Amino acid sequence: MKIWRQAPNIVQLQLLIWTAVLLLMFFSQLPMNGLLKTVIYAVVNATSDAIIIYGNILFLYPVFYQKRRFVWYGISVALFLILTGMLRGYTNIFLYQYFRFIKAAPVDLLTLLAYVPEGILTYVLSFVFRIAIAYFTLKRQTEEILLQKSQAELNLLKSQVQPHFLFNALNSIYYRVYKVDPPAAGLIERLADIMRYFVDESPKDVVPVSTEVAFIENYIALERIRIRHGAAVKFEKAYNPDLRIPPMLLMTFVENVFKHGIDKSLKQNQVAISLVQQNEHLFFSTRNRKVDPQAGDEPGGFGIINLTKRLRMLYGDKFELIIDDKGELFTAFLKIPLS
Amino acid sequence: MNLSCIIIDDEPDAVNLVELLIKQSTTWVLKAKCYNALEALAFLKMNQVDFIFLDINMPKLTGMELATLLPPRTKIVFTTAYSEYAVESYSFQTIDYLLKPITLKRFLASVEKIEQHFFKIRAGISAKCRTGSGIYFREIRKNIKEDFIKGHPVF
Repeated sequence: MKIWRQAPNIVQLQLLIWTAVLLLMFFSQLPMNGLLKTVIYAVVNATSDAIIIYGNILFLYPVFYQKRRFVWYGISVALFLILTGMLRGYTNIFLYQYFRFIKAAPVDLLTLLAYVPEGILTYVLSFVFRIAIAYFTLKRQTEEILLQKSQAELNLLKSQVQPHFLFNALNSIYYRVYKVDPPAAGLIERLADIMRYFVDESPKDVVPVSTEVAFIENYIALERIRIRHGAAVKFEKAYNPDLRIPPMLLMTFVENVFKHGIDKSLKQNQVAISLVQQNEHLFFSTRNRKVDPQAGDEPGGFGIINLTKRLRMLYGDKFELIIDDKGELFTAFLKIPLS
Repeated sequence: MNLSCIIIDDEPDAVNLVELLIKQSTTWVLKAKCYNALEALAFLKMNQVDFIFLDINMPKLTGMELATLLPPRTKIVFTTAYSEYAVESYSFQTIDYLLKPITLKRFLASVEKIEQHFFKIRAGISAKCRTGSGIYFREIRKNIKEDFIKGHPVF
């Protein structure tokens, strides 16, 4: 069961408590009364307790007491308790009479009022309930904040400590490889450029479009060496080189092309990418043949969902993201405003 | 171009890489390889070079600290894995800022930049010399002419 893998949340906790109360009432009365009578008793009483507790902590307390209307609060609590007490009494007696546990007789007011004092006790308990809920909510929030904090610290460590070690290590490796195999050293250069982009450029709000394109081209070059027969990648580019765009908007598509659009055993793999600036818009598209139709990761994939969220934050509803996977080809199209 | 330099870096591979790149693509004279900043400081007290390749993160004395101790005529090319010192580095006599790994492509661009830098300086000096000597010769010619007109013996 998935629910129990993590600590129960506030709602689950309350459900748990009410189930326990119900069972407690049921089993405490079961030896003395029959099954049906016990069920009626437990359900009616637990329901009335719940009405009193939630009526107070969710309605009366916040509406009157917390707004410093103390007199109104006192009056409404008294009325509320008398009303719920009498209602509980009436329901009990009515059901008992209906199922013939007791003789049918007219109900008088005094009998009903006798049910009120028990409600007062429940009312007092409602404050304990309120404090418990507040405590668990706070505890959960604190845990979440701590988790986020440690995650943030970890990210900071990842982004600040490791890169310099890695760049220095790559410098050594570049030297040793360059001595014997200069073309291979060129691949290390591409890898280093990608890492440089992640560390220095990707945290920025905007980067030159040429930087973004260089990053994508480095990525493509490194992906291509992993494909047995290579891949024909056509990259059409037409934009003003001074243009600046938010980083990492285009990468998700290119990544998906190489994740899902390439069959490594195939002799021919064709990919078309285009990045074109026209008037006040930038158009980006990728097109590749569908290789694995079962790979349902594409339209609803994690990368695309995150990208959509980010695009919405950046552009509101002024962007267009169209993914077409109906035919033989898989195409992704993105249009963003430039202003 | 005829330039002299030294390399300062605590990592042997880093020193060797720059040395190899210099040998392959320039005619510069590498006068010394220093594995810490103090060694470099001692060398530079006794010898003069046009510029130095200087790492930043080194034990004892960092590249930035060494840079403050150098005479202004010694130019600097920083070599470092850290991009965050780039702005600060240009408060010194900095010609270029090379990020590690230092690749052939990036190094060639730097060679261009360094040679341009010294070419301008040297052209500036020789231009001054030329204009200076030009005036001198004009003066002499004028004197000769005057002497000649006046009938004095020229030599």
